[in-house]
Amino acid sequence: MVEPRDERPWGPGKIARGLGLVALLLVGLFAVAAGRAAVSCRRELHAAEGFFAAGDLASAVLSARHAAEWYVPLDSCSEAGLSLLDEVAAKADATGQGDLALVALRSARTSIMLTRGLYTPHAERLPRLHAEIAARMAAERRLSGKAKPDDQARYLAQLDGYEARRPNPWLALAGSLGFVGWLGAVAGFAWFGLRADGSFVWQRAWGWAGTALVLFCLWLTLVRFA
Amino acid sequence: MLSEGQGGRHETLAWLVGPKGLMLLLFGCIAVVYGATLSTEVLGGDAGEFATLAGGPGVAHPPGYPLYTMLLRLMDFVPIASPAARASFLTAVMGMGAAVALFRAAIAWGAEPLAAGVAVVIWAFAPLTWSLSTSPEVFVLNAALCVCMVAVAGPLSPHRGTLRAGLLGLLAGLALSNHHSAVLMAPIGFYGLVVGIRESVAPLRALGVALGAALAGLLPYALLASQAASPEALWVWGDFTALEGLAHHILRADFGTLQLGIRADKVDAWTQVGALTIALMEQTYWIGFIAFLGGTVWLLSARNRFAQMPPRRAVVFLVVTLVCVGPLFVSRLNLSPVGVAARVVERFYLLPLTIGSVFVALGFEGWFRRLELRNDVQFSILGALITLCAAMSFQQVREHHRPDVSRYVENVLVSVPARAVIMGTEDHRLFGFLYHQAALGERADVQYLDPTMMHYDWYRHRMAERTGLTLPEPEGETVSTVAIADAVLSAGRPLFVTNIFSSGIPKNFATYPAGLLYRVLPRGSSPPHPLEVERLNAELFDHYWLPEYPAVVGSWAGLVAQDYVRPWEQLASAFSAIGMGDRAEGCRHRADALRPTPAPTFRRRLTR
Repeated sequence: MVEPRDERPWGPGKIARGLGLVALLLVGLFAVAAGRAAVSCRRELHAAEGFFAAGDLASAVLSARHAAEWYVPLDSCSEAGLSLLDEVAAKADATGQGDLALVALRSARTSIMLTRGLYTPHAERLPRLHAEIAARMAAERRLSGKAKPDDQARYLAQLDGYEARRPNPWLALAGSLGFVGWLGAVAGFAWFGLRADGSFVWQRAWGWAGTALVLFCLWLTLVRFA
Repeated sequence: MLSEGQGGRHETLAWLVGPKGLMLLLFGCIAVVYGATLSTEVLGGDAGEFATLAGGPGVAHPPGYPLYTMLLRLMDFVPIASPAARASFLTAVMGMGAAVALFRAAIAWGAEPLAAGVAVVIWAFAPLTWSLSTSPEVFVLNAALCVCMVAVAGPLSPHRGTLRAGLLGLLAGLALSNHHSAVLMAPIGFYGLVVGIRESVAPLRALGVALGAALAGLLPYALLASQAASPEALWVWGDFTALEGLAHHILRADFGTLQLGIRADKVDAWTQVGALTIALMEQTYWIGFIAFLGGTVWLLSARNRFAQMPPRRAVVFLVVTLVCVGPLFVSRLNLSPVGVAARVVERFYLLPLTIGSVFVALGFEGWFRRLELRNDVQFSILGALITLCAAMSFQQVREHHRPDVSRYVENVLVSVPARAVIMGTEDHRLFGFLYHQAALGERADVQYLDPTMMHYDWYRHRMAERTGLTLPEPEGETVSTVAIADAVLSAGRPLFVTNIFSSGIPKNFATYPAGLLYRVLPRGSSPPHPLEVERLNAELFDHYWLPEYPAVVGSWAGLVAQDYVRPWEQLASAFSAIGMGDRAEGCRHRADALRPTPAPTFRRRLTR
């Protein structure tokens, strides 16, 4: 039988170094992913501009949409993709391709929806996009002969309603951090509240157990209302 | 004698090729490769559902995977691309965690850093691990938690006594909060627990701590009811209005608790075990599999045991665990490992691949022990192996991450008229449309409806509420798709089906191919002339995103490709029937250009 050791396998210094290494790897992973997003965005945008210049509007919509989807903070490439979609919509309208213009506008909206996180990038574009999409959908219904008087308002409510129904990301984040904190507190309880022989260090054990309980309740409550 | 500057450089170089440099090279390369190859789109299977839950609250299919979905909620603050990309980012973090845990597990079972590193490289760059670590799936987190258990239970683990027992309890609870297959880790878990209890001065207290920690680890299940009650939930599988619903979900009653899926293929257990063995050989580039066999035999039979070699009894428990998570579990799967179902089944190979990698490390340890390799040689071996494995697997990962499912959904959503109802089957469609509509808010006016899900009361009621239609109740095992079609068409809504999943629709309604869908016409209507259908399809395909190169048969992309081929094949038949041979030939050419290609090498044998 192996003799129990009194000392912890990892002291506070080693835990801190371990957490630092984890943070470093996470930042590295994010940096690589962000770099890839920036490169992919430029590649798609370049292709979209080529299609647009050649008059292939349908392909330009697809590429510009994908460029707009590769959002990374502080990089303007994604916004350039959205602007190109606006230009494609305008050109499609001018050449009598109303259905393609609608696809371009929907693509711009989807790209914005797709990149939402704690904040919504390019949110200022949404009201205009919603209004235009709703108007065009109502026009489409009129052409099919099945129009109802409130079509446009209904479509607009559907489009706006989606944004209004959005979960509160800050509450969700706080709740999620409560979860990570709970996990950390449980580990802290095992690490600092127990001696190697299995006996409790009562003061520390109560502290960590109480923290774990509070964070657990916080997590459940915040995520419920997020 | 070295000058000061030369000495500093020499020290840096020595550190770089030393054990710490070795780890930096290993985990740095994994981070770079995983980060650069994250999937950013909806793929087949359950990936769409998990990508959706990265965009907001909700409950995934049974058992709900609360630990993974909770972590997905954390991804809101990662400001990059789409919810699917964020979910992949989380999974990549889990993949890196699993690689670190595997390294520690190999060390805890007696391997030196080089052998552990080689095993980690083979594992991390195996096409299966790489694909599942860079797309939204729960299996990598499961592997990470299970291999952590192996590390903590290891004879050379630094965690002893009560701490070992408590950590094993917590890991077991968390692993079960993520994936039920973690229960198969019981042999090594109990072995480690017993060792921990025996090491402890207060055995009963150690047992109590382990049980308490296990219960704490199971607490994420409390999240399911909380998420289901959220008014902003994007997707909730199941009915959580009563406590019974929670138990129903956790026990996977919708799927038959001990079954993998609703579908029940009759598959011979040996076929499943054979498919697992072939896959493990392929995934470990053969050399890993040979090392695995060598390591297992060496550990069980070696007479001259060196100081760090794990006791035979411990090895037996690890072997039994491997048999449980591998052949034993796989032989119970009720999906045939053929065609696209093989992609569903092979995700379950990740756990045996991970646990088996500990033996791979020990197999290499047996070889490296005879060679006394210098640090710089060890560094070069690892570097070369990373390059080789990454190069060999890249193509398969690229194929796995093809955006075809996502583009299919986009193509459909941009082409259907307002207020359309689309009836369809299969997971890639259900979760693909879910992601695009619930997480991205595309085409809120269009309703996707899966008739196979209509067996569930909660789904039927939700669809009835969303469409405002009176939808038929199931009669025994069947749901009348004809009655659903009648309800949709009588409300004046355009109806489409994604595929012909029942004979009822074509028997009772006129249909014609409309791009990736079939248009279903009201009773008594006639389909348009083939020339008109051809014109319509040509117009739709002009606006579609089309694959740059053919997909592979037996992949999700290959399955989707069939939908691109189908209208042209049907038009070719229609033109042939009315004697328009030239038109038929033209349509056949278009179909051939979009047809998926057969799978290469070994995989063909599995998908045949």
